[in-house]
Amino acid sequence: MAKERHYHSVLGVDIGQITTRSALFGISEGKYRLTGEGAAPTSLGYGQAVNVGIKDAILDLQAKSDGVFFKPGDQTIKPLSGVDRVVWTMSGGMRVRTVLLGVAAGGSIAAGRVLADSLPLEIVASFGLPGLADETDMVDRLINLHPSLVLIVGGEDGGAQAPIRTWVDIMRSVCLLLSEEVKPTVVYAGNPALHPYFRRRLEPVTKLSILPNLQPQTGLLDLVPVQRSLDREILKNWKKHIPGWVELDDPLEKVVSTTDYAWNRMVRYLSRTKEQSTRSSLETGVVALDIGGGVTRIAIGMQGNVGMVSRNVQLDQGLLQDEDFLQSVRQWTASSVSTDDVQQYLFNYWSNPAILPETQEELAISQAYARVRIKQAVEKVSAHYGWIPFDSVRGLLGLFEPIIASGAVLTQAPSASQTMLMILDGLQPRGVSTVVLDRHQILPMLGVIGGIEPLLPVQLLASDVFENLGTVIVPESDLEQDEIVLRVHVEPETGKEYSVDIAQGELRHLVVPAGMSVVLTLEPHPGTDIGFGGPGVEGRLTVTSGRLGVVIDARGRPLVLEAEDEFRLAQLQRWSLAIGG
Amino acid sequence: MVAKVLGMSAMINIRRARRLPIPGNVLVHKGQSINPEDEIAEANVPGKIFKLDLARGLALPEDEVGSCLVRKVGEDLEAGDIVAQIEGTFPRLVRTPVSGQLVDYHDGQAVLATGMNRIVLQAEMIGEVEEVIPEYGVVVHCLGSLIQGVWGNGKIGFGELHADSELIAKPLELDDVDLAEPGQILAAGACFDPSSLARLSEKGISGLILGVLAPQLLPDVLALPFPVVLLQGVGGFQPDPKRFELMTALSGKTAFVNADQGEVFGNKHPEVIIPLDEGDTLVEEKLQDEIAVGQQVMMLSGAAVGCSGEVLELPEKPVKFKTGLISQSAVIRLSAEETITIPIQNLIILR
Repeated sequence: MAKERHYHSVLGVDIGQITTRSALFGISEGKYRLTGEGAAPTSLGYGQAVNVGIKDAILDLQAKSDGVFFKPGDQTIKPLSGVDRVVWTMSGGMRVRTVLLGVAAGGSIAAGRVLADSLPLEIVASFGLPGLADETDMVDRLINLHPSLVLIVGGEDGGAQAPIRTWVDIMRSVCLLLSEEVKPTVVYAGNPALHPYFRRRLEPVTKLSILPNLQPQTGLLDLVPVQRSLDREILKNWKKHIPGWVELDDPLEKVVSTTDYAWNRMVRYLSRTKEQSTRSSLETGVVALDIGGGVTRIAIGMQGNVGMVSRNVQLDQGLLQDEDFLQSVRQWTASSVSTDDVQQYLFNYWSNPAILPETQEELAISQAYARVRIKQAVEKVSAHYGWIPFDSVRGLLGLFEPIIASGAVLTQAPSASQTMLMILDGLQPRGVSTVVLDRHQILPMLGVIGGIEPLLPVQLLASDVFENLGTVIVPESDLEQDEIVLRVHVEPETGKEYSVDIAQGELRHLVVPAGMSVVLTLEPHPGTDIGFGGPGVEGRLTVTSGRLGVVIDARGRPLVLEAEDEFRLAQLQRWSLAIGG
Repeated sequence: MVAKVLGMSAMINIRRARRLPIPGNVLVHKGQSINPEDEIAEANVPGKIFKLDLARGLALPEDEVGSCLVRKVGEDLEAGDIVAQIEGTFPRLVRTPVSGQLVDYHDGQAVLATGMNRIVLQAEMIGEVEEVIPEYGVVVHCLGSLIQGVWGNGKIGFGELHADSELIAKPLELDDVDLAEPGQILAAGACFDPSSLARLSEKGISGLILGVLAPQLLPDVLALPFPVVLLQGVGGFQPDPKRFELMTALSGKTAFVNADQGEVFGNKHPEVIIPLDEGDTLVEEKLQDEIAVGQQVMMLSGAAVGCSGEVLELPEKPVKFKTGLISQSAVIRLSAEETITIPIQNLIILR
């Protein structure tokens, strides 16, 4: 039997739209640990090569650690000395121009969009049955769209074949008419009965990838195999178009992934782990949020399913004249600003997503926009995945623990309490949860490393590599404002025990030194639900305190902002002060 | 630390690659002078397909039609040409009712491409063809002044530059618009008034270069038929005459405006190019550069957004700002009386 090989050091690199991050994982006291990290501006775009930013990020890591990865005079990234393996994740590449072809707008086309929103794909057009009415026109339209990828979906297992056959014929004509170098790759994820037809008609004329059916039955989405294959297609496209990418190639092709796919994979793993450890009939899961300079990403994992959306911030540019959107950002801005101020800041931000908010007003707008981004992402992911417990008025239902937060807007906020409030206000979680920060964008790297060294992510997740921001308790109650909804009895590891009463509408911060273990006994009012099985159900839990100790959010769900500016500002400032400013 | 560069040069070698999305024919040659509206390359992709049901025409099962084909895939056919036929006692044949190229035959059907999808690449640039990229396009070279902005409405145009220092120092008013001539590229400090934009459109100007624009006017500007470039940004702040200095000196010359800003992460900026025959200092264009003391920079955020100034100092240690954010920073002299400290991420080099 072959001896299992373990790597002693693995270097991870995540290439974001603004920042390229590096992280070194090594073995210390018999376990994998994060032993160093670095960062540098991403070098992508006209006239730049991606390997320059990567090298700078690794050099930054080198400067901060004992490792020497480059010898003087090294011109290329690889081979790196001092590391056994290097893994890469990337979200900075241009979204791949994709045309979606299917049957019904609410069926296969909608399923295709769910898939596309979970990966760095740009759907430039989508066509269903009406598109088949004029084949001649459709062929010309597809030629003029010059997509890199054509995704054909539709047809349940054993279902009707005629519309998809017509799409195949249309795509065959398109590919026959286009020259070799600009033929799109065709990816089919539909009724398997048509696989032979696809092979016979399209394989001779273009690159064809046949995947398992995305929607084998109505309402049943099977995204994972399709996501995995599309991840490879996207990487192939980037390889062709991104200068400097060629150096990242690895013959094993298991060490490069889109950040979206790697992130998705880790959330799936975490949700499976959670499923095994939860013996409850309650709807529980994990949430990962990435509010970066260039991308908004959310993944919700429950029982091994993952719902995910990833969206470029620049796509919000179309909202600059949307009064409702601007008002929603302004409403969450904890500073006296006008809609014009919001427009001006967002315009500058979307034009230069790397900028930092300099004034209190800019910081307040930037953090208000983060709340709106989270809220939009929750709404979109819930609309895409019907199994996510969500109500359009009450927001995200179900219990999610942990909540993993990453992205510069959250991890580089001036204070931990600001980060916590952005998450609480945007996500509006329920029950009891722990908020952890992924400061170094390690989650996607672990998603890739898991494929070559499964032990590493397991041990990293059990370490303190993710910063514990705090435990959150959300009592939900129909009681009147200021009535007591919850009593919390606190037994710290050391020091005196005490109890606190929490009133309806209150946001409270219990200071417990970070790292200290504390036993909490939660005694809700009979009309209050703390996520332990229904209103009035008590509970006792031991938590390890994070930076912000324990935060109790009794403000109600959904959060309601005061209508008048004066009172709203006071309300936002009161909430901010309540958990440390 | 490295920062992006926004072009602001009196004399610079400007090179722009123009490429077709698919291979075709380049219509210009090396050394040829070109103007923005010139067609420099084209691709003709066969299209307008026509399906001919041969199985039905011959009254044969689909799998028997292949042996009856009398023309080959790839052949050009004229209307009336026989495509397939059965000889014998009772011969049958199918003629094509349209001219075109036989591009495919399958399952009893012939597919003809009866027309072309013509994709044309315009120069969208003024200058001389420096290099031909076979089948795809060209690299155009131009010597002259380059002034890049932070936003553009996606249009292109060219005309005589009208850059008057009075217009640059203040927001555009209706009376100012009346002075503009059709075909001109007008430079103005700011625009906060939608009626001025409407009047400019009526006057038939060829382009507008603004320092500042009121945010609510962005939809109006996007709808204008001529290019608009913003040098400073949107908001209610003051125009910065320093951003217009090059233009006032060159007022009356021909200016080319390309207000296409490309992708946010694509390193492209909307720009004004003023071709010149000669000049004092010739520099090479850079997309990014190391921040250095003495450089001219523009602020992208904060209280001084849109203002330009000079880098006075680059503190070694990160600076904590009022907001609590900690960042590498630069000390900038905005004027003789005013200096500010701002995060380096919030700067763009003017060069």
